[in-house]
Amino acid sequence: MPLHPQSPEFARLATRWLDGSATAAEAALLWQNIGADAACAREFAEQARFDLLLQDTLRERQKEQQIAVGARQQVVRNQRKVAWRRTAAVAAVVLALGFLVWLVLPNQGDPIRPVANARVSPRSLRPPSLPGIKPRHTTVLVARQDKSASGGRTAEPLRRLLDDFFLTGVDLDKVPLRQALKELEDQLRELNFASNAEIAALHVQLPAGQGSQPVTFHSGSISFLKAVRALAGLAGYDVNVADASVVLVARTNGSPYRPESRSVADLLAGLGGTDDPTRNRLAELVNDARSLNLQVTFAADGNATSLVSTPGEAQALALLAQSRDQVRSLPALRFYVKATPAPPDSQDRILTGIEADQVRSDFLLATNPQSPPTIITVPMQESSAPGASAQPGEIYIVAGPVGTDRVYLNITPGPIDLGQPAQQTLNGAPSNSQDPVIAYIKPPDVIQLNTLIPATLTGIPIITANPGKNVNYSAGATASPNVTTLLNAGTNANVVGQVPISSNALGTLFSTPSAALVKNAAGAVQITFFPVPP
Amino acid sequence: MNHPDHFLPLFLEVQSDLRAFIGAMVRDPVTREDVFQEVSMVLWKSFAKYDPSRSFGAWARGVAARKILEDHRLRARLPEAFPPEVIEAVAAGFAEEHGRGAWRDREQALNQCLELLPERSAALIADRYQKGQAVEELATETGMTVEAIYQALSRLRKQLRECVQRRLGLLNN
Repeated sequence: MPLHPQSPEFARLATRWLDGSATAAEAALLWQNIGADAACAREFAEQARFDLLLQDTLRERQKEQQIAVGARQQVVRNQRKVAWRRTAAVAAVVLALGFLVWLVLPNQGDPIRPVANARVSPRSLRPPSLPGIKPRHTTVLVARQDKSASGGRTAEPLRRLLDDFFLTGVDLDKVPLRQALKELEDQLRELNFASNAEIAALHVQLPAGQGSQPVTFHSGSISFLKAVRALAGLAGYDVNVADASVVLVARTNGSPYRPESRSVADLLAGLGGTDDPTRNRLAELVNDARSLNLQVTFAADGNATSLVSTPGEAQALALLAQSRDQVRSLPALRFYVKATPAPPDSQDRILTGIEADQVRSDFLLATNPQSPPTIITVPMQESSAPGASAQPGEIYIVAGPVGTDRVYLNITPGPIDLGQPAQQTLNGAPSNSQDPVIAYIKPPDVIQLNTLIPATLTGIPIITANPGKNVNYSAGATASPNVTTLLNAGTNANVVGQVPISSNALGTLFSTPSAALVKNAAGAVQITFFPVPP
Repeated sequence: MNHPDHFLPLFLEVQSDLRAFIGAMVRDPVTREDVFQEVSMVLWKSFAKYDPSRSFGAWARGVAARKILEDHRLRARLPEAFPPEVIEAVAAGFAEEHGRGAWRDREQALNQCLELLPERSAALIADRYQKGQAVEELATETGMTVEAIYQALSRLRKQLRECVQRRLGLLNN
């Protein structure tokens, strides 16, 4: 039977022949078609060219990788050589100088007797004192501090890791510092979805017998390190990051608890500018001050003019503002939906990992730089609207195929960048990177997630289907419901999913009403995200 | 009489296409390279017989086709249903030649497309075509069936090929 050159069957035969796996019958069928149809011969030639291109390109990439590795090793070898030569040169100079000293200096008596009794003073190990600068820290855990100072290789990545690790939020009201820090640690471990060893081994250390000061601190999503620094500041401590520890050291300079009146204008100036004209940094500062129970003075026109705070409270204010800036600088979280005109071949279901990867490949490779792909991403930015809740909220997903569209919906939130599709995980939370959860929706259904087949996929949310209309999603890797997704079939024909992200560390980013419409040849798919009123 | 100096530019222009043509019929990579080397020598030695009014690529493919058909060692590897006219048909399939520039553009586009592959897909492609792992081995490693691996590879090849064509403006989105 003649095959069309663009048919899947012809492609399969050609691939199997080129792959060396064709049976005699398959080869015979292939040659029969090639001999009978010039278009098949041309298509086969194209396949053969691509086969060679693929192999050559991959081989070249491998060579380049090997060369890069070799070059790095060569650099290290050269550096070692240079270091050895330098050491040898220094040793030669030292020997020569020693010989000269031995020649020049009077050398009576026993040559091994010391000519002077000099003691190495601890002072000589201290850093040079600069005028007007006093040491700020006590010497608690000096050994760790020294190690951290000299071992920036280990401290700096940990500091960065902890500053990029977001806690869901902090709500502490007059909680003793030691207990407050423990709560931050507990949350850190709970959110350690990726089981990062450094995170798992981390401990916040307080000097023995200290840490009973009550602290009050409220924040939305905030980096772990900033939260610790804020609590420490409020209680009169500084923070050092070293090895696998975050060490709190008591402040010795000034009075950490003495309240001072501070100009709001000065505080705002210290926070730096923002390019976002919609932000009201004054209002944010006042809200933060109120959350810390600080006394704020207002002018007759209603504007805040000053506030009274201790140095630690002022630091906490700054950290809250920095946290907001940091959250805004994160990549926008997105869902993506792709509608294809091809008819479905199966029921609504969650795709397997391999299938999901193939769909992603299809998304990414189908991108034509000259024309936009049939893919929609819905950014989920934090709302800056006045009065909008910045707290974790629930969102509804509304999506439905139109006509004969087949819809793939990635229901795992995560940043999507078509140019950088590889990996983005924040706190190691389930993301679209390694094991995306992609739902396959059969037209003409609206997304019927309640009919999805239960699936267990390693390392990604497990779907447990309940009889009826509910599907519960929970994180498979950890017992805690870090991303608990409850999808209800709504009464509204279009509202099909309710997705509370209450304990997701990034939940605060999901609070903006968003809606978008994507059109393709077959019709349109509307996606709407909006927060559930508290 | 063709001047030997003219050989190299002509040969370099068609060598990738020639390798692809040989590779279309000789699947063993080592044998394929051997055949390519032998054909290259024949082309060099018989360059004087080349008619400059004809396509150098077509002449080279003709020489390669004869080599494959006449070599008993190679002939034994080909299926029975592989008559000479099929080789001629395949050679005709290569008539629309891709010169060096076209191959270079394709390689550049393919590199860009490979960068876009998700990690698992990229690993599958690399394991098969870079490391040369057998499909059966990949199936064991991934816990998939052999047929599923073939399908995944076939689909990825198709996606990559279309991606390359899109990037070169040869295929509408």
